[in-house]
Amino acid sequence: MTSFAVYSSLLVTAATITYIAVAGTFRGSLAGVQSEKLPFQKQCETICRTFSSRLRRVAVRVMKQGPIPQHIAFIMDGNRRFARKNQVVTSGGHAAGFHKLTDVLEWCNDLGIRHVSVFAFAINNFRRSPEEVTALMTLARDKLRVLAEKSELVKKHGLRIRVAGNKEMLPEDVQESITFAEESTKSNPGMTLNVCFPYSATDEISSAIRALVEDVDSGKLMVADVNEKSLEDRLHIPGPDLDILVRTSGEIRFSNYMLWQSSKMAYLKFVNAYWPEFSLWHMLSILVSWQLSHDLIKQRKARLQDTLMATTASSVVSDSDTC
Amino acid sequence: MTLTWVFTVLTVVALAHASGRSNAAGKRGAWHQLCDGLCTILLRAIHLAFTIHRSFQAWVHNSLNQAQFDVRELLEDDDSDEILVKRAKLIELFESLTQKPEHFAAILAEEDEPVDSVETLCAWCVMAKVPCLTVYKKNGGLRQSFDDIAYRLGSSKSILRAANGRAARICLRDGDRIEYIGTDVNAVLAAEQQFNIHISLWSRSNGFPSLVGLAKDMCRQVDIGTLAPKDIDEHHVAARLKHPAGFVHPDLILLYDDLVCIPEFPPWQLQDSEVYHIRSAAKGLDDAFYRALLGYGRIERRWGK
Repeated sequence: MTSFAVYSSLLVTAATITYIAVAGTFRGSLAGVQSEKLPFQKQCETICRTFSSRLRRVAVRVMKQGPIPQHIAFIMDGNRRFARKNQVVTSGGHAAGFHKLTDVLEWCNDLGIRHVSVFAFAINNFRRSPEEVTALMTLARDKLRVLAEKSELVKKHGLRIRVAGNKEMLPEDVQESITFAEESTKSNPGMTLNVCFPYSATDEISSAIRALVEDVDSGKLMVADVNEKSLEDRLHIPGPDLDILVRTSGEIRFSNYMLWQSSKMAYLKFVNAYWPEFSLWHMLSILVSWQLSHDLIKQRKARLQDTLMATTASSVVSDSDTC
Repeated sequence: MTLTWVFTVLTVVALAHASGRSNAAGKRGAWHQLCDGLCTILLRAIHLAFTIHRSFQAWVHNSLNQAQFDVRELLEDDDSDEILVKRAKLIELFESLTQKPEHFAAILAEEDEPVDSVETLCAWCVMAKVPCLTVYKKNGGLRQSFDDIAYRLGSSKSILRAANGRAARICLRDGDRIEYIGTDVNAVLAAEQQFNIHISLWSRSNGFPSLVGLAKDMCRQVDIGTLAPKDIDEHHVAARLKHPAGFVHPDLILLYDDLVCIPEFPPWQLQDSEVYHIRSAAKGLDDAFYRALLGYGRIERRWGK
């Protein structure tokens, strides 16, 4: 009886600490939420962080027993609704979203995922209120610099930052931050982060077509060499093949993001949680689902490759095939 | 059970911590190798348990999502009073939806029978008054069955029931090949709006190869001087890829396959699509269509704002 009571209380304490640690990761990420803490509270938080960090490492090692995707993309949706839900200003939601992004990058790095693409800002989003757009541009300008200069992921793990999109639409100070982040990390050997900002897939495809036509016009390429591969090489995010596309906030659409890449048998996962609430357990659950489907996806892709090779030799593409 | 779980987690943590160490010379002793081996076995067992748990969760989710009533009977069975009443109620329900897709697309699996599938989808679109339907099968199986599909649509009882006993006017399209069903060509030439439904049969060739063809065509235009490369932008490409009957790109895509992957559906046309995935939880294509339409009626579109 005594030993049962002791073990039960140990278990309840461990569960409480884990709950505080997990709940604390997103609640504490709200911008401006700072309060004076007692030394005991700080000690508890340190213990929680250490414990959850150890637990996370174990969970990651468990996941690595199966195949790991090479390229995963996130549509980071739900920052504003998260802010409304927690009764903070919209910019607080976006700041929480950035904090979550750094967490997700750490998890992806631990898991050994080599390429992560995130949908930070759509070309459509310029239609939002000027105040929100300005706040987002300021956030991007500041956070890109912080990520490139001070983040552990860059300094310790060699994260490489690329910004994909129509950068000419951005203010000059943001473009300078982007250039700084890209140049200072371009030779890093670690994980590649593609920040799509500002981006739309239709803009990407039409830019690729324009680049291809320009190359043919200038003589760098022959018309006979125009094919899917040459078009794909000119996309903002040419490769590798996208393995998983994740969208948060429960919406089930692409919103004009990575359409070319997603259409090539990327595993789709729509998570019913706002981006700042996206947790490691969501991530691991997505990974397990993908691992379960991995063999079937590989089979279908192989069948597709065979069909493509068989039809490439004999097919003639004509205007009648245009939708 | 709980104590065993706690003990297992703590053992794994301890083994995971211990197995990473090596001695000063970087060599791993027998003990460390044994720890590594035990750790790997334990981690794989936990991974397997997690995988089984996830599969079980998916199965439970599918079972709980089984539809409460069977919609298949509404168009397949003969017109008894009960069926007529249910059908009328369903039509009312469709009309009460706050939003309906203008262009509905269905992605079929490789093993789906093309003629039956197109007939079913056509009947349901006619009943729900969805004016444009696209059916996609990656391997081009729909194109090969074009004549059979046209014949079936012309003689289908379920489409007749869906159109309240009147012959539905259908425009069936596969690239340049068009077939008018339930109406004559002269009436069609007056205005295409007279059709109850436009049906397009797509395959992989309508997507990536189509974009390559567009690029080649633009190269030729640049070569003869009718187009400048700097004029190629999103609007220019969009104008070349619009639907021949002027419909928008698919609003709602029904992914009727076990795998939650888009099997090379034309990428440009995915831009504004809501995706509804179902297969094992549905009682058939009818049920899948019904659920997709109801789901679409509940969503909120913000268009980037």
